Amino acid sequence: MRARGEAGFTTIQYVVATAFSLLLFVLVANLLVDLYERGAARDALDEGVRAGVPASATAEECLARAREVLQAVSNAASLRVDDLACVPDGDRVVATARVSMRSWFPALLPDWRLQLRAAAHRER
Amino acid sequence: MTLLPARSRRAEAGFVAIEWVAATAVLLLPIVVLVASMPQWAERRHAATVAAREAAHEVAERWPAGDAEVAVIVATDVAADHGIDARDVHVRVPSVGEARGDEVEVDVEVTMPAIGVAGMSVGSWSYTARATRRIDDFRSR
Repeated sequence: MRARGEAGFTTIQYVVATAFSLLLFVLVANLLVDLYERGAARDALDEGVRAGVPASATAEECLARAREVLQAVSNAASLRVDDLACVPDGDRVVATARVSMRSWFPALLPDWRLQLRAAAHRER
Repeated sequence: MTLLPARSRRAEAGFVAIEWVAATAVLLLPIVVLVASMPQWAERRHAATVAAREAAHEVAERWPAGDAEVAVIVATDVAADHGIDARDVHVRVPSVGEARGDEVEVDVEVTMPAIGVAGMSVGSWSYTARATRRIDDFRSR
């Protein structure tokens, strides 16, 4: 037999409010993962240009190193590299990347697209 | 089991919409803003480290012609690549290396927003990264 005083308090309002709260948490988690991936992509470009610093190094070495680090630190499912390039620019080597980070809720938030760059002076 | 009197039960009745908005504003949002601000501190700290390293490297490479101006240009450029405005970067060069075997020292101070979300920031503190690079003992002038 059901005791009268044990009636629950879960209402439609409560359920909806909880759902919105959890949604907010998930969006924050999405932001944090995106920030990590942005940092990882920047690190990869930094590593790439460092590989291109020695006077004997080529742009291909910069590119290969950047690609290697990108593959090591980030999951391709959530971070897409649309374009990755290393070019000598005078006495510097410059790496650029166009990346997009997938939204966990495409209906609410679009993918985050970024243009990243790193540069270092080459040794003479 | 003791049942509450009818008056007490009425007093506990709430309105979820209002309570949720209040809880979100007072509890959830401050936490979310704080959590969203924290990664920036790590990012900016890393950017300061890289900027100082690159600036010291460049001053040492140009020795004996390297000077503080070169360090400022390089550090500001690296910081810009990491999304940090030039106004938030202060570069000091305690030593440019007077002779072979001396050390080049570059300090890069970056302003950290205490709370910063979506371009808005409240309060700040600063972090200073120092990079040191030795002038080659057998380097020609």
